[in-house]
Amino acid sequence: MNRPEKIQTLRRAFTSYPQGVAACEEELAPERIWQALTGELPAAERRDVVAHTATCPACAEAWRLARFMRTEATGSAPVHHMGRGPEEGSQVVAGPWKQYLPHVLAAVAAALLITVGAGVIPGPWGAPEPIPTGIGETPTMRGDAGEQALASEIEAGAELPREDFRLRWEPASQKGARYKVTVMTEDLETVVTARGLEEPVYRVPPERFEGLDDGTRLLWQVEARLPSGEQETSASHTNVLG
Amino acid sequence: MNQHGDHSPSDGVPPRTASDGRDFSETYVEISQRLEKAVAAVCPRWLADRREDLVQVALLRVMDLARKSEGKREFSSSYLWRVAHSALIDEIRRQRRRQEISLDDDEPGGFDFATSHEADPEQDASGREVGDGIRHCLTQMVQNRRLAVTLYLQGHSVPESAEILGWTLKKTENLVYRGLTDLRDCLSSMGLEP
Repeated sequence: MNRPEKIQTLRRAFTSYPQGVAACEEELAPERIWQALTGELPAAERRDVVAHTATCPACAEAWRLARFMRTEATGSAPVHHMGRGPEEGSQVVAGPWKQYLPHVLAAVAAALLITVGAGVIPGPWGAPEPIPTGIGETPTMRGDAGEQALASEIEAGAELPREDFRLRWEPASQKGARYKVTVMTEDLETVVTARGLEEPVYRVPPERFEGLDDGTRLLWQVEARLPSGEQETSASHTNVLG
Repeated sequence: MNQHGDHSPSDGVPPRTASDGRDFSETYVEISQRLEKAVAAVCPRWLADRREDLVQVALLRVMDLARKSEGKREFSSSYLWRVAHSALIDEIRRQRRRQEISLDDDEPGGFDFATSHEADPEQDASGREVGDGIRHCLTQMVQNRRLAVTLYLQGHSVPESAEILGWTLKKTENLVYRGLTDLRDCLSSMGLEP
């Protein structure tokens, strides 16, 4: 069974609700489920509702019914505007620093693979399959499996001073490329995203590190939009805040 | 009937026009059809076979609310959808509780294959086991991964999940990936293979 089939099997198993399966003890009001799905609740409360549906088949079913009804009504998938952007915006300094967890490195290393191989990731089951992001983006990668595009020109893991946290990388394969750099903490809180860079270098403004301790390990990744319209994406690089 | 041809609340007939000008008769028909499709698509077969009854009860509640509310508050067609969903869920839950009671009375041990409309009891039992296993594994995950994977299993795309959860796309994508890995490992440790 390939990965997409396994995902479908998982979905069928999760969304099945046979007779005799008891409902949860505290079912959510249908109104609340509807409000969470439509974005009328604040993000934290939406997350609470989703958390409840993880273990309550009845409320999970109510969620699916609401989604189906809204999808049918609008004629498309209910990608709705919540009236606010993501709470963790791409230009916002991360919240309080979270304690470093050793296993996060391993998870991050796995996440690096997301950027390798033209947007394909090695799935948990079977051969690599792309996660259906629904955004239709297929970044192309330069070179074969052994060659990484936009390689860092800084020693991996090197400490960089807070006041001059300057990132450098190899230029894209075509002149005239525009770069986007994303810097985040190891638990994936975005520190800063810089777009439209014309040179393969970026100095992170020191104020972006507010709240982060010295010794914080930071991940950064570069995307290059080429004049031809193609895109190159680097692996994730790691350096330490000094 | 008033000068516009609309019925007043006192004659027991639901209003014909919403605050947004839509003709409610069309809306009621549309709601009825939509509810039937939703139940047929989402609910298990034993419940979907009763969708006409479910929809009728839900629709009566919608009409009753509309009738009682006329003149007291403004409401729109979209509000009726919300009410229709609530009414449907309440009725489904009532049916399920009734089923649980009847199963307890008739089959104290478990699944009532005699009344089940599922095609293959063995397959259904296996699927139920995996479903229970998935829900158990979700409780073992860190919260953020649990949320991302739950929405993914519910059929949402990653961008949809990101918007619902209020997170960036990249964060959500990574959490789905890691969460599915956790799920695989957990199910394997339980001897369950999807």
